[in-house]
Amino acid sequence: MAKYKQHTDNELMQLIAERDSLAFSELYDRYNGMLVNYFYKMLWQDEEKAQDFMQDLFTKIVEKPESYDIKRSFKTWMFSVANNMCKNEYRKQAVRKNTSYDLDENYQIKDTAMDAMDSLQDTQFSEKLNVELAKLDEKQKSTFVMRYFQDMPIKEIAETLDCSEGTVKSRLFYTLKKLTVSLKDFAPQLVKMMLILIGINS
Amino acid sequence: MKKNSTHTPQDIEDLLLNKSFEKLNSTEKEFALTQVENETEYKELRNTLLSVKQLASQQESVFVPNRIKADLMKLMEEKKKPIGWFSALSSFLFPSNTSLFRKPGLQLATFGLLLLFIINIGIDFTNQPQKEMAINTTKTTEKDDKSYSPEQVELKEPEKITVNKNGDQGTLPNVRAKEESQKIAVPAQPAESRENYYVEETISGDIAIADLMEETEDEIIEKPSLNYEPNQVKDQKKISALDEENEKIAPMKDKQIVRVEKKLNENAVTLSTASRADGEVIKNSQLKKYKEQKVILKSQSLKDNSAMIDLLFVTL
Repeated sequence: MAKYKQHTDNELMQLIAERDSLAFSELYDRYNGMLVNYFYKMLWQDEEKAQDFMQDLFTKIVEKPESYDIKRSFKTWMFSVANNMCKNEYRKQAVRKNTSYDLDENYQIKDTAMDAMDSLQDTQFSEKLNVELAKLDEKQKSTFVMRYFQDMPIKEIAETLDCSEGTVKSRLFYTLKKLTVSLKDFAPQLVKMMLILIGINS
Repeated sequence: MKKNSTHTPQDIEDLLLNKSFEKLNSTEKEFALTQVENETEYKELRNTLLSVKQLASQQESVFVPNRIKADLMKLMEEKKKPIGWFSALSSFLFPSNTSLFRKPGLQLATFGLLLLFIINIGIDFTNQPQKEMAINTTKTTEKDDKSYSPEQVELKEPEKITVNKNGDQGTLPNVRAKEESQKIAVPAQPAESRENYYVEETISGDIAIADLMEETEDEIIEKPSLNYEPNQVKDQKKISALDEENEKIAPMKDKQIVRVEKKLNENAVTLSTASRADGEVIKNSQLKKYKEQKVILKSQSLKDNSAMIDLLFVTL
């Protein structure tokens, strides 16, 4: 098992194509957490849905390992597949009459219950951020999540979304501007304090 | 305001993450102000970005149950097993992960049954009536051919029957006595003197007049033909007219009457009589017999078509 840890993703995929179950186990351990978190952020923080989507993606890898293009980076290929799955889910939800607005209402209920308790301000900010992310279009959302929640480099994001690095940076900046307007009143106190300290120091 | 060559418009993220507005040098400030309106906006963007980064780092990972990995490993092991052609075919036709009505095997079977059903119905509703019609046509044709085809008419040498002036019947030396001759009805009265024979011959249900034999060189007297359709009796007026004409001819005496027998079919013997007067032989067909035959044919045809008629009624 230890020898599989030294294999690259591409090598593991080649072994999986030869029906090596240990190689698959290693690949699963590497990416399951990353994928489930991505799906969780992309699919309205639905934990069960995120788990199901992650399982579906790995099932595709087991059933059709030959669909992976060995010339590409496995990580970017895997995230592009995940992104396409999310797109399909958005289309389904669009047919079901704007599920995102239903989620907004849910978040509004939580907001009213929060009051101004400082200890819960971070949670409040997180929930508001999720609401605002849900309002973004699919491209802005996926770019933002990959960049700030998956810590993916700009180059990998560009490969995954099949666009230029400049486009990715531009999208990130305008998404940030949009979120800033929406989240102006929800900045966590810790960050405010930090900024005050930085301001004092500077 | 000039752009700094070291920064592109997309690199504002680096500045936001790493430097407050106050820490930016003059070049960086110039660049930053190309992207944001003022210092306040820069601070707000920075505030949001840092908050998001902090949130992302603090966020707990979503729990992944072990059963998912177990299921996937089980699937992997199943894929590892060699697959025979039969199991491959069965898994293709009846995959386990699809609903009942989406299984290709079931869809193919349904389609096959439907096709078979349509073909059977097509045979029943198209071929059956044609078959009936074919039977009827064949019967009619056979009868027509056997009865009236000129090729099949055996024209036998006419028996010469003499009728003396007293009306007694005698036989000429060249007349052969046959059993059939007994069946032949002798016209009550021979035709008037004629020089030629003429024969009423039926071809395919038609009665035509033509000369059968010539014992003299005189011209042939033709009579207008009477047409009989196989399934119906028509031109009854013409038939009755012919009867009347025969009656007119009948009183002729002292003429030789030659009976010519034509075997028109196996069951029915068509007998014609030809009256000869002054070298003319008149062959009369038995019109009444034809009439009966036609009526029988018509009734037989209806009887044979009873199944077809029933089918039509059922269809209606």
